[in-house]
Amino acid sequence: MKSTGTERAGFEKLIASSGRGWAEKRVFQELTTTLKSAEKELKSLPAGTVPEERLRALESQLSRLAHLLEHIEEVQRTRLEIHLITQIALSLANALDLQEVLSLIVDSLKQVVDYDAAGIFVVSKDGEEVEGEILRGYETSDRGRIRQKLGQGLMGWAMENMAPVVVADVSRDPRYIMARSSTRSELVVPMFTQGRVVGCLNLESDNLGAYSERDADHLMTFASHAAVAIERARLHREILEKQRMDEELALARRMQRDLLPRSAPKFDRFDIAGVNLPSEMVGGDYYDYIQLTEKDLGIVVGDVAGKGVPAAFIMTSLRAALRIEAFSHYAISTILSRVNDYLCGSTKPEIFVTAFYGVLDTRSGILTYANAGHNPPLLLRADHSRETLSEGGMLLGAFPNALYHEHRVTLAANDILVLYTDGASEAENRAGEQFGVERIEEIVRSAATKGPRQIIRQLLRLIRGHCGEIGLQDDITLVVIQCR
Amino acid sequence: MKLKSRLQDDTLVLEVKGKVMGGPDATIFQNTIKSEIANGHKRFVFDLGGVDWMNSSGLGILIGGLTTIKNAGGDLKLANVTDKIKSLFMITKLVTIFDSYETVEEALKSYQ
Repeated sequence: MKSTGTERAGFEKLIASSGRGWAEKRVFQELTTTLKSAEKELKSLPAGTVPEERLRALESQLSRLAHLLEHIEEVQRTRLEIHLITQIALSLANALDLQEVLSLIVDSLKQVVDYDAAGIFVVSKDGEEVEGEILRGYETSDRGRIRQKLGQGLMGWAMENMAPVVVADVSRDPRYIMARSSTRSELVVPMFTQGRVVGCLNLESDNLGAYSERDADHLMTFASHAAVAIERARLHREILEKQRMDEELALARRMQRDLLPRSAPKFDRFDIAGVNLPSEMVGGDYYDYIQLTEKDLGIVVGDVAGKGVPAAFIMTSLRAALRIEAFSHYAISTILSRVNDYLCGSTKPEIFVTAFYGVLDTRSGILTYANAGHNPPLLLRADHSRETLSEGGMLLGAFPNALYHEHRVTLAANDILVLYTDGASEAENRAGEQFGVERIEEIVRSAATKGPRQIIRQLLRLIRGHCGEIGLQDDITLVVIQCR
Repeated sequence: MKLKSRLQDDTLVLEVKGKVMGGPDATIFQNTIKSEIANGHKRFVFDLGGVDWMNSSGLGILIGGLTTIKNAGGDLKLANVTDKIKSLFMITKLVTIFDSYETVEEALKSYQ
């Protein structure tokens, strides 16, 4: 239990850095001095003046006193260390920025265990990448080799074994990788929380044997606080990144919404309304009105396989391709063939689009269309019969050189054309029952007198009601065209 | 999605079961097909009898499989196509692309 010179110096430093314990220090000094002078006094007694038995009893009492003093010192030391670490932990508790946390750690580290150079490294969850680091006392030219230490050297060992490493003489440890020529001894402590390594603390000293096992223990306690602070900062960063992603997605959503028609075009004989509801922030469904001539209106409904961002990209390409081709060619079959070939050249065959494209002559009521693998629009005749517009050709984007055939129907007074995506017809409730085309027809007919806008409102309300608490699982697009 | 393959009459029969959707299923499917092609197989039968559900991304997986096999000079037949998938094939016009048979045996016979 005899304290060494370095430990004694460390203790004095600890008292100084903790800002407490001056009274204790004085008492210790007083007690130590008294004890030493008593030991000296005892030794200087001329032989024979005190009986031998009495002399041994006194020596034994003094030795016991010396041990007690060491014990008290030990207790005091632990108390001060805990106090210091609590102070550090408190200062770390308020920091959320990872670099700020690292900077606080490296500076407070010096109060806990002294160093000539120190590095703190934060590794990614898979341990493959360095997410953050802070260095003190290294030359710029040393920095390349520091990373090497992290993978293979003592740091790599400490993180892999989740145990501290004390090296009294680095020249005798084969695991040591040199980054500073003046380093003589090293202490490495891994940081982990909830059984997962977060990173490590690396301390280097220019003196041989600068670090004790006790320093390692002490630093392990410190490292556990540091790990929690780092983990919290990392979580905070993840939240910030997620927020940024959400903002970008919200921007993408606004941009995508801007690609949809702002309002439906108006014609004497036709009332038109449309809606697009992505199930995620952005979606793969779309609809479009393309005013080709004063009387001719191109109408598109499309559905990209899949959802979310990947589908949104394809949707944007489809819209652009279709608009360009619609203005360049008259024949719908040609337009769809060209769009198909364009999409085939831009995407893998797994990614495809189903689309319906038709041109409505708003004077004659003739709709010329081709259906490229899309859910067939419902033409609900005034006499209560139903036609489905399925003729056309292959879905788009999977098979090059596909041929499309166009067909014609004439819309007469009180006929209603309903274009939709499977997000509407196949919307499921908890029991797995689909909303169904029959129900769409029923609702459209029952709301027919209220016009397309109200028809769509009613459809959406009932589809949402059908899905209930499980919500919409797919993007929904609806376009309703009513002939007056 | 679960895949089980067996060799029958020099044809690789791939049993597809469960829900066929996008994401990881697509990668598993593609890798299986590619490795069988690398093993020298050219004739394939997909047995879809055990498919409970297939969405549009699932259809994409079938299209991707067909394209990979055709590009490698092979051929694909489908067997036991469920009503739900049949109706998807009708709507998308894929019915004109995929060669479908009622049973695996019939699909195998078509290769003779």
